[in-house]
Amino acid sequence: MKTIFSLTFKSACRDPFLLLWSLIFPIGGAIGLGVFIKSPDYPEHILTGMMAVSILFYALTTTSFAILTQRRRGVYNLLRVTPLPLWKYVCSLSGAWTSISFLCAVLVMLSGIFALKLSVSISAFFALVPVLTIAPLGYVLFSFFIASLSRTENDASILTNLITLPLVFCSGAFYSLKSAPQFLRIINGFNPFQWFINALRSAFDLSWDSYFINTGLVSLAALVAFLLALKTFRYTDA
Amino acid sequence: MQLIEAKGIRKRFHSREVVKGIDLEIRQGEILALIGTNGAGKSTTLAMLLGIFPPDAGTITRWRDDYKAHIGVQLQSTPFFEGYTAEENLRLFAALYNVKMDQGQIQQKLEECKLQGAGKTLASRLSGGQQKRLAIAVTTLHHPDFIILDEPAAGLDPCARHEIRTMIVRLAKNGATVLFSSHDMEEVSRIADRIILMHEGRIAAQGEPKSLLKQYHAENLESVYLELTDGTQAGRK
Repeated sequence: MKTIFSLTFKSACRDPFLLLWSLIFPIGGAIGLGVFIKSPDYPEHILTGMMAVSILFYALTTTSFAILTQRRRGVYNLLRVTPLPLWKYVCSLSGAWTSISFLCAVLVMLSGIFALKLSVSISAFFALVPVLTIAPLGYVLFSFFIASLSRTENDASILTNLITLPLVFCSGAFYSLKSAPQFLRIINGFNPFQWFINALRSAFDLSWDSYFINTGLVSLAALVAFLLALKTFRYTDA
Repeated sequence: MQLIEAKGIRKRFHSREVVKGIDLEIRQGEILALIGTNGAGKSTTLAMLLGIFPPDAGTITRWRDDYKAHIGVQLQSTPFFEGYTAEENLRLFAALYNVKMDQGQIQQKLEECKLQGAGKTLASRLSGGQQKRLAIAVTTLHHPDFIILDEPAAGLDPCARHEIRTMIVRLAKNGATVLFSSHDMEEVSRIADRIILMHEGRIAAQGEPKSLLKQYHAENLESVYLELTDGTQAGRK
């Protein structure tokens, strides 16, 4: 498992999409919007939003394509004739990709803190660690499910857009939902991406009740994604 | 000793029956060639023997329960992990078989398949011959008892085909049982101890190359192949 983890990590770091979608775009977005919009709470708001977006883009979108590509090349057919149990393979890959997501989010956070002159307490940082681990793990596991539903890269592209865009734009990642219509706020109560953002923001603010509730919901979603990943895993397109 | 015995195995995909009740056995230490036209059911048969999918009917008995740890497999498409170098692919496949390889062992493996110097190249960027050689190297990482190669020399130039043949013979000399599928009758006649000829999902003939030639009064295996697969009968004595 350790070898699969380290090789996956190394290979994934060479992916140019990682640099663009999970580092340049979120760092640029957080700093640009944080500086441009003059509101005392906004820098922290946009920074947490961009950290979440960075994770979502990598852990859900990029990994879906990576899984689909390996399957279409026939690698998973070989996997089926090795003694390695599927869960070990899925866990090793997910672990590597989760670590990358975590590092990306930390880089986005450090860039934002530095550029926007924010302060994060040690307690907040430690509270962020579980959230920045569990949420990307859930998204990575869900990406196995998306890859299983897709036959081609086009399918994967449509599915990831259909899932990520509503999750992001219905959430409070970029703007406050305080004055949003009631129905949108109700819908957002069921938005796993919003749970993740809420957990991040409550970790920053050290609002423990909200932190534990939202981290719990994110963990539950990750557990469902794990079961979906294993139950629906496709070795081949045949 | 028999490594695998299949009795009456059948496989259907949608409305088409691809394998129509075949019996075969694979004996320890032999080089067995599975030949036949495209769509004859060779790859499906190999997949069933490997346990990639179960037969719809019939039984397959394998020499041990943990057979997956003792089989090396090269699939027709020579798949490698996308985005990984040749060296990383060797390491990764070794990990799938729970084998740990240090840098020296990796280099030795690369040298065995004449890929020294290509270890840092992405596997997907290797030439066809290099990819086949790497795929065969992958099959032997865990020193398996039994190696299955699905069209190992397909689409290669004569030099690369010769290298693959040499590799197969070397594997057998080192004690492995080898089952390979092929369209290349020269390849088959040079290295196979025994041949199974499949046609339209059934076994049309099987035996040692010499006995097949004798049985069908043919000068070469290609004539036997053509006769049994509805081709011409050129080359008959």
